[in-house]
Amino acid sequence: MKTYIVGGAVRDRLLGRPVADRDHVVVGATPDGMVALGYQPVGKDFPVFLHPQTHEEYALARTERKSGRGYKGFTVYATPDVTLEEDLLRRDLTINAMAEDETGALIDPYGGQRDLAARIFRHVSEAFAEDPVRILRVARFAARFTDFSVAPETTALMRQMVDNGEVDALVPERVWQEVARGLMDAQPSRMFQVLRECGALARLFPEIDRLFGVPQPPEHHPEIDTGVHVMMVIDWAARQGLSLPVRFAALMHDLGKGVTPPERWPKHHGHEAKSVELVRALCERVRVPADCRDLAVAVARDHGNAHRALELRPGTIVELLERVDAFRRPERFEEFLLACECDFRGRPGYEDKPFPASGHLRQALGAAQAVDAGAVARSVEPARIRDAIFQARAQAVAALRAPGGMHWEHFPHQADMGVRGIGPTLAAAFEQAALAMTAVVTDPAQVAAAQAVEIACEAPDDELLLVDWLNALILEMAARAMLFGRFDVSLMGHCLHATAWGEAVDRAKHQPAVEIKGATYTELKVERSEAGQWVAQCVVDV
Amino acid sequence: MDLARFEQVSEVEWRIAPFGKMRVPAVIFADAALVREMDDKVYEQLTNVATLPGIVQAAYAMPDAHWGYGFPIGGVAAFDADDGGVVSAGGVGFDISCGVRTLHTGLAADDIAPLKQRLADRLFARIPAGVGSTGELRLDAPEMDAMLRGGARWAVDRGYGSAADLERIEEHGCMAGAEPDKVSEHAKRRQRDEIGTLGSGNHYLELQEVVEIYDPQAADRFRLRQGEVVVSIHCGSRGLGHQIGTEFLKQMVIAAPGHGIALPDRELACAPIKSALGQAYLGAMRAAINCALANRQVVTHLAREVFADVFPGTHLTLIYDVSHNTCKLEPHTVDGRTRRLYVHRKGATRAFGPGHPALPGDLRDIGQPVLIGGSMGTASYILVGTEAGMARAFASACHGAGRAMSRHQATRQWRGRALVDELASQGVLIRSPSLRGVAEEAPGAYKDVSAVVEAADHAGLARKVAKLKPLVCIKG
Repeated sequence: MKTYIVGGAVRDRLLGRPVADRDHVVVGATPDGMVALGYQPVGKDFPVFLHPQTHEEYALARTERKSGRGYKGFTVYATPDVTLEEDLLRRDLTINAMAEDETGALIDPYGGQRDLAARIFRHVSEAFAEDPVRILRVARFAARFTDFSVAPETTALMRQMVDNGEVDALVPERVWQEVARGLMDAQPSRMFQVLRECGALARLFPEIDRLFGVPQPPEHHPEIDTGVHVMMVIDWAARQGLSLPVRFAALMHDLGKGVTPPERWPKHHGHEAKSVELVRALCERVRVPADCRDLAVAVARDHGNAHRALELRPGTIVELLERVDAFRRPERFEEFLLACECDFRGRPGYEDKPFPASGHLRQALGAAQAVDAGAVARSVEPARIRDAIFQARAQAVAALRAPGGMHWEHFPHQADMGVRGIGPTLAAAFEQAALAMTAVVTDPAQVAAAQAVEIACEAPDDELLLVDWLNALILEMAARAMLFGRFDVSLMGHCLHATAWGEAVDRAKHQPAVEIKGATYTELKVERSEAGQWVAQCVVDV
Repeated sequence: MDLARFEQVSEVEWRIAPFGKMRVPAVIFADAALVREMDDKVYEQLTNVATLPGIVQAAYAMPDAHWGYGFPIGGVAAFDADDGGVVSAGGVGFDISCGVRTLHTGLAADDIAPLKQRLADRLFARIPAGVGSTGELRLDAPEMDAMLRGGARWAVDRGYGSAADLERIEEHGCMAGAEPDKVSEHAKRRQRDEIGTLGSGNHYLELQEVVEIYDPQAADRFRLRQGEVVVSIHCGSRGLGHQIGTEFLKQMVIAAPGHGIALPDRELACAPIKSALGQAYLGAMRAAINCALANRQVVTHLAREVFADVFPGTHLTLIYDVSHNTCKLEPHTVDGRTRRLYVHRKGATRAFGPGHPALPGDLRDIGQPVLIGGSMGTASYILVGTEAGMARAFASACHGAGRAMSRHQATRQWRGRALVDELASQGVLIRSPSLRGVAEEAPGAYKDVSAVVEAADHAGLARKVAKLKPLVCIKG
């Protein structure tokens, strides 16, 4: 009896990638012989065993012959005379059909190394066509190994399989399992590209396939094509390392655009409602788990509202928060915002643009949560409780926004933190950026305006002026051991005069998280957004 | 990052051949997994550094490299003044000469165990840490200048430690060429009462147990014994260094066009070494190096007082003191020729090999101790500089774990109190003035320091000597 490491472990080692699981093939053994050696049998359909110590999988070398439709219709032969080469021959791709013996020597009868070097997915033999799941696997590999391409003859074979109706026999659970894994890989768009090229996408997910070729308004979507947009959105989500529900919601959000009558193109009024219907039907058909489905439905329904957050009335914002169940499930709401941000960033040139809507909604939730619902409930008759709480929350959101939609937010940087101020004027944006900086250290609302400090600075342009203004504050904070919670900025060209109000640092009261070393030129931007708001931002070193 | 963007030289060396305006190649020392996890910004920043005038040989990134300001953190680049070379404020960073020192206690972990709580509380009470904390010293103008000129030597002259300490500090505890008059009044104002404070963020004082020895000979020379306790201090030049970085960054941005330097990115702001601005920055930066050395020396003194009180008769002797954010003039052999180069190490540790004349006599034959700080609650490592490492990246090694997650993400994922309790259950006592600060510094927010050290060892930047496990962490 001889054992070999086979498949993904051999491939990943040759690629220099981390090896997660090692699968073994055993040649010249019988099930009884394996059990006698202490291996534990686990395979239902195939003779597979777990090693008594390492618990790694050992499968007897086998051949498979197709005997029915779908992926279960196989006859398996696993007698001791099945050779390693025969076992490798039944595998899907040449790069997965290599083995390593106990001395570490490579056995590569089907050109796996050659295809690995050329970065090609090529089927090992015509037996590939016997299992339609392999189409999904190749597509998923494309999402993981982003510099590989599918060999033309393999694409042709997959197209033939699709034409023969093979993918229609796939069970929904298996489709979801593969697609979910592909979504979690490095570049999920490549999975859909491969499925589309062989015609499988139209059979498995006609709702997604339909999006390609549907135009959107170029002023908001420089990429124009809806399919291209959705692919950019899921790739952005993947680059950010976001969760499966977020990635799935990103994939689903615009399905409604695929059913807009062409005479209305490139506009898609009301596509959100159609998206919701299509998402529900798709989730039902593919048996998508509830957490993925619920987030996808919420994002499909409300992504347009989220983008318009700064323009929505306070009451509408509270309704949105209620619909997304943000009060009871804030972590879900975070995912909702992330998915909406992916939708925003998945457009050419939007990767680094400010997306103030999500910060605003986050703050709106904070303000609405701060309303003491119990106290409100006690102050009115029972029939009016619901409405009174709603009104109090709407007022809290309104107070947050007055005057003129000013607010601040943080944005992530690997080692440090980004501060961003938004307001109707440049001076207001500078004031908000200063508040954002205080919030890096402590909650600005906890800083009393006990003492005023005058600050003046000057710089050659608005961006350098922002950094100068923040650095002047950092100097005053450090030298006076103070925190500031209120700012009044006036600007004359590139000269700034300001008053900052604050108090001495009180460690018990302020719980200061970190000291700020300096404001930097990283992610430095001062500009007017499309909505006419001023945005002033940079990263501060802490 | 996508590995396909590199030419793989070895398992732990990845090269980017010059393209566009790059004058030299860019090289990353790390294993495939670490490179894959690095932000694309590291690629962008490293190739940007390679475009700067007068850069020699290559722009290097250490295994812990991450997205910094202009230069990646974990970046090393050397410039030749005679070749139009530049000095960059961003290439040194805001926390000038931030560094680590490790002290030998001679106490076994078992000796400390019964008094651990008390020791943690006493150290936390004695050593100022966190936002708004001030030291006992208040420096007037002449004393400030004396400190900026004298560094750790200034502190020793005033009774903080002994002359023996100075031998175990880079530059013998005093950076030559410091010019206090190039340091602004604002910077001095920020520093007035900050000498002898830890600061905040990732700065700490830790009690650590030596849990593993990899190189018994070097460990013996560094007096590291399995089961014994050392004290490590991680802090920098405080407000003074930050202010110098801020001010010169701006001046360099504004002056760049006048110096004929086209910056690919404003953060790369730099000035020719031979220009008045370049010289002024070097003078001020060297003063900030002295400030950091003085600061660590005074904090050391406070730790010694606490130990002398809790364990009468113990003396903490300095094993070594390294700085991470510096630009230093050093001789290096390039293509067989010795050249005097301005080596920027941004989040990288100097790692001189055996025989280097800058090493103290009693360590010269073995090499420089390279101290690698972990994140709060995780392991630290001590390495030693090697002969081979001298030719790798101008004798440089990694400096720590490097963040894997932003502070923002960290606070969403962890709560300070729960972390303190969890670490306590693992035998690590945390003392910090800010629970939110603790959450932002959660061990899980950092890369695996062991993988970083392994890659540095494997790449021949420095050789592993010992692994340290934290027992007590006073966090700023």
